[in-house]
Amino acid sequence: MRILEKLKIITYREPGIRDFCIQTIRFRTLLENARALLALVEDGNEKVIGEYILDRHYVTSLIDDVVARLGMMVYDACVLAPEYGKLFYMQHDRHKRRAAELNSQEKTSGKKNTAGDAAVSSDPEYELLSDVLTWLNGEASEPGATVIDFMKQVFVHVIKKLDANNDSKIGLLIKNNVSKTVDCNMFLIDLWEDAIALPARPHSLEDINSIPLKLLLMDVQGGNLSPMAGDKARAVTWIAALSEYRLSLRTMEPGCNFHLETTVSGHERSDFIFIFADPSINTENILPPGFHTEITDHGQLAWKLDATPKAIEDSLISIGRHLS
Amino acid sequence: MPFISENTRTLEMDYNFRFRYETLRSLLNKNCSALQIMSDLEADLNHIHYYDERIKRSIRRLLTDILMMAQELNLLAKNRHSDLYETIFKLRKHTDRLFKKKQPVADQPLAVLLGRLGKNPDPELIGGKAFGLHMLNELFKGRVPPGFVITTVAYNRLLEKNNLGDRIRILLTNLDVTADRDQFKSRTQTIRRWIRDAIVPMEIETAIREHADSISKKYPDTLWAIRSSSVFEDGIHSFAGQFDTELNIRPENFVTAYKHVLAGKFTDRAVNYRIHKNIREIDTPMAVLFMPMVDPVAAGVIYTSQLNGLASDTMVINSVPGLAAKMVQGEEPADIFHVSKEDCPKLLKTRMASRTKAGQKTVDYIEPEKLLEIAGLAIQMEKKFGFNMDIEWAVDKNETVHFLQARRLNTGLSEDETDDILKRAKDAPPTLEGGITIFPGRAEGPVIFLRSDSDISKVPDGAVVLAEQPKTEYASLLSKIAALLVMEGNPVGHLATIVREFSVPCIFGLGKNLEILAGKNIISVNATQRTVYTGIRWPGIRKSVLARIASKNCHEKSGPLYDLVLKLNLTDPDAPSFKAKSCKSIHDTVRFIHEMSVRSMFGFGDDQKRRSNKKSRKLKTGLPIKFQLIDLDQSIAKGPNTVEPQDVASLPFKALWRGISDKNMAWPDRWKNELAGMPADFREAVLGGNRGPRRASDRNYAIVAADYINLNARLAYHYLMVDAMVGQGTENNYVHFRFRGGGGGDENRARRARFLESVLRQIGFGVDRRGDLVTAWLRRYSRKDSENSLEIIGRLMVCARQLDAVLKNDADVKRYANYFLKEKYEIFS
Amino acid sequence: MEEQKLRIMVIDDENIVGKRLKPALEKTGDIVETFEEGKTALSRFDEEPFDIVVTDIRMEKINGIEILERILSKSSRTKVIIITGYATVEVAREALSKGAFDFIAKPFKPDDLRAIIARASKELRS
Repeated sequence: MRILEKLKIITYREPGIRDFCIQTIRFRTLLENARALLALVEDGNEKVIGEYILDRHYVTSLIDDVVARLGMMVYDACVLAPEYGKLFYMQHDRHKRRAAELNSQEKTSGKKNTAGDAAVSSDPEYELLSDVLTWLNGEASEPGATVIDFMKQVFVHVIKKLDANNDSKIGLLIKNNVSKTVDCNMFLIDLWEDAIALPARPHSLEDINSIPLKLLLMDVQGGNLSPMAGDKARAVTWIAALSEYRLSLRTMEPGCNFHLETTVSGHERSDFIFIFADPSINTENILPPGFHTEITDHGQLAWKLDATPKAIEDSLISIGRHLS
Repeated sequence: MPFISENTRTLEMDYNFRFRYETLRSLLNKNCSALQIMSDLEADLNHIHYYDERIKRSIRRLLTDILMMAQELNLLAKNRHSDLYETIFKLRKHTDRLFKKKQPVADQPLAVLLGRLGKNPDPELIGGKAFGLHMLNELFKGRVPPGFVITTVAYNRLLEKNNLGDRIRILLTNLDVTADRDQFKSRTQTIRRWIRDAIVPMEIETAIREHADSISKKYPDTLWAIRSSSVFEDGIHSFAGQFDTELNIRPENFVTAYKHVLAGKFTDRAVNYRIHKNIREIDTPMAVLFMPMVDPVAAGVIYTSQLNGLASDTMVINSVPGLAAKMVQGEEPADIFHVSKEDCPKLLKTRMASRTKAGQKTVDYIEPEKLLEIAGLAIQMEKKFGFNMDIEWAVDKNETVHFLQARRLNTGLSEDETDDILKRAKDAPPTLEGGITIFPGRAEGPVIFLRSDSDISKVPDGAVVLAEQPKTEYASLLSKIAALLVMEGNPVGHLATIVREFSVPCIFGLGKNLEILAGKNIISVNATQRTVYTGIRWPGIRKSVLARIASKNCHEKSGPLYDLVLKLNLTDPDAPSFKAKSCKSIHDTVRFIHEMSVRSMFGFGDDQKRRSNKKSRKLKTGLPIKFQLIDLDQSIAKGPNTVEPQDVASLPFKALWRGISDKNMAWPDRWKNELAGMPADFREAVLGGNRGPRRASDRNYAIVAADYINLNARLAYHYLMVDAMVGQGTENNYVHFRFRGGGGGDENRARRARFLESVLRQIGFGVDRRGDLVTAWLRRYSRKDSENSLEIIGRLMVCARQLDAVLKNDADVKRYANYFLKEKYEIFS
Repeated sequence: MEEQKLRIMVIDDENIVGKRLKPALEKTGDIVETFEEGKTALSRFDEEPFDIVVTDIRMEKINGIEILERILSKSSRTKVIIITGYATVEVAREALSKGAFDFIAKPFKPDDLRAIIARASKELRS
């Protein structure tokens, strides 16, 4: 496999690597918190349809869980992108206040009787839940006004900051190591320091102990991976941080930012794929069906959660194929 | 920027300060979460194998969390602890290595015939008893009745199909037989009921029927014996008498009897036994043996070695006419024969049971030649296996000798006190002599006479227990008493076997004269010589008795994961070894990070000037208690360096303080010194004089915000921590509480911990108690309930010191817990 | 053999519970009576015991464990199912060890409760 020739291992002896790994894991934590937030919203959506027996406690717990989880996500974002910290907290506080308002909302019944909608009856618990869901993911009157929209803004800022780090130590290290004779390079870093024991020169895919990377490269035809297709395709340098079940893959090219995060452990609740792509990249050519996508001014977000392990695996193989 | 610019309503907080606050909160949250994960892990490891995916996942989660905690700590403390990363990465490496090991086996059968076990049967499949029988069968073909085993695979399947695994786990977690006996009994009873009511999967029923049919052909119209064969049973741990045997069962009742035997795994005795020996549920699945019954003319047990440790060239045969069951339960006296241990054994001595008629010289149901034949076979067995044996035998109408069970005999090592004994030969004669040594050794202690209606939970540690009969329920006492003396009883039987395992000096068969000792206070027992003396006879013995009891109750939990994940080595934050490099386990790392983050918040070791805006303030109070407060969000009114409790606008603080300052609590004068933060001499010794307190552990401090408190206090030698979030109108609150008892001996500390556990559970907390460390949590309760619980904790803080004076034995724990809950605080002063 | 109708009692101080459970459980033809107050429920039980009792664990005036104990002492064959507001293990432990048949956590779908009731009724008939 020609792609194997492009793989270069960076060891921990190089300066800045450990910090890079810790930041990568921190970004992971942010994603996990975001995922938990999405799960809360989805749970609320499922319950509001009306078939459940729920109590006010469920709704107020939902509100508090959202605030707590949002706080955790915001904290992670501040660690990764401190320059936006003040703004993040201001917006977060705004949501906290709205949450407090919802929590202290008086119990009313029969207030909002949507005409002809007998299913969503006039139980106060359901009304409150409805209001909460509007706050979470209703129409955003302005950017960041709903929780989900705020979450997207946070993502975008953090990713931009991560990409800007290309000038940092790790970026320089990569740039210095880029081989001029090879038109595509993929630098591999073990997230947990030799935990997966990458061999110096992988001869076959079996030598690589990272399941997601193996899957990604499984169907790669040529020796190049690039998010740009056709005549816009060009040599791209990648950096991949790995562990047994995880992969954090990024391009190091300005204007061609492509970021893939995934966990493939066989455990549905932990597994996922998350992608960020520059506006200039046509993700339709890369992503298989089944991804939830969001477009923002600064780029596209896409993710696949709560899928079977097989679906995740197949998606990765497909993405790899389309990137090459 | 897409964000709306906010105006006046936002609290204008310095971003740096806000970030530090959020960092600290994040750290403390992760700390609580890590402790919870570890506590769950410990409980889970009892029921799940360490290489299970779920365990692996939990541990990886833990490692990621502590890595993030380390980053957060370094953000707080200006990278002063970057050596933590090395430690954490190493831990990940080591745990990964662990997981690469053992994987579970493939498809195993639900049932196997005893004769078809192959050369190397798996004891984990068929259990200890069946394994022993297999070995016997290999040695003495034709002497072991045929039978079959319903394997541990079937057991696990039955549990799974009836959803019992989780339910049993819920009931058994954090259970201690001495803490609340009634609760213990009610839980084990519930589990037994569930098992008896369980639905046996069709495939198991079929397996039973088919295997039974194949044997029944040779033994038509026979009744069957159904016995437990648990993993670990009859090995090093005998579990003697712990489980049930069902006798005289007709084939149509097999399934019910099978379930009854399985239920026997959860008798009080059995559960208690496992808890004390730290034997995990997951390691002891139960297989069940089905054997057609021999119709014996005589049956009994033979030991290939006598038990007083001095003469081992004698074997002992115990025998009864008919079935041996009652004899083994201690309910029927046996005829005892001593036989010489040689290739051609000779009958040395006969001791007939009380049931025989006076004047009768020999027993009428078995010939001496038969006894010698049994002895001869037993010697062969011992030679083959290489250790002393305890063998159950039966002789049928055709005079054939059968063997029904064989296991290793625990003779115990005798203490060599012969010199000492000879020296004292001229001293005062013993108050009582005689009986049979069940286990040798010397002991001394206060006398407790157990009658048939006595409450065994009242027996204090280190007592010498006197009893009329060797009741198997006394087994639960064995781990904590000095010695056991019994009027009746013969050396076979379940209690005797367990006595030997617990190495408790013990004499049976002392007769009615035992009553002489009833009125004595302290007696000294020499079980080797079979003598009992009034008073203290050998100085120093008491100490070694207590040491034995303490060590017996300290079965180290072991396993590859414990050392890497759960074991806490770094216990003293003031020790010079309290460093990142010394962290050997995940638990150590969590502890280290927590301690350092709190210190960092207080700026100890830092240049104090830089902290001028946010320094801590002293709580002003008339009570003999000192607290430093740090204010996270201006909940404390601005002012001088001291602050009054009423000026602290923190809901959880107010609640806690209401409890601490409750006028009904009495504060003895002697506390005044101890509560001033630290005993004075300690301060000197550790800090070396004039630099003043440098560590957070020196003081009692609290970090407060409007809805939050994190309090750490060191009262005398107790350490306690309260972390709580209680907000206005929110229902998602939590209260976490940790207590570690400092002063007093092990018994005192354990009792104090059990008292706390009992009180906290009854007010709704989840509790994890490990030795003297109590961790408790109350989550998602209403504001009112959370505040109430904090008040109660405040009162408990005051009470803790007084507990030593009032908790004298285990029964006191329950009693005083009730007093406390009924608000009878005056009892504690 | 004709199936007997089950007599089911539902106790929860939140109106929404009885309001939604009653029609849902009555679909199978069982008889359902709902109560928002422990005391009234217990007096009704005294008049005539029920086969199944579904009760919330934490209510303002009287708690579910107490109700469980009183019902079982009156009629040991009645199957009691506990509704918890959130699946706390401690509560489940206590309830199970005191004889509760099973428990279900809010929010739940009436169908899930029906499955538990079906199991309970199977045991009642055996």
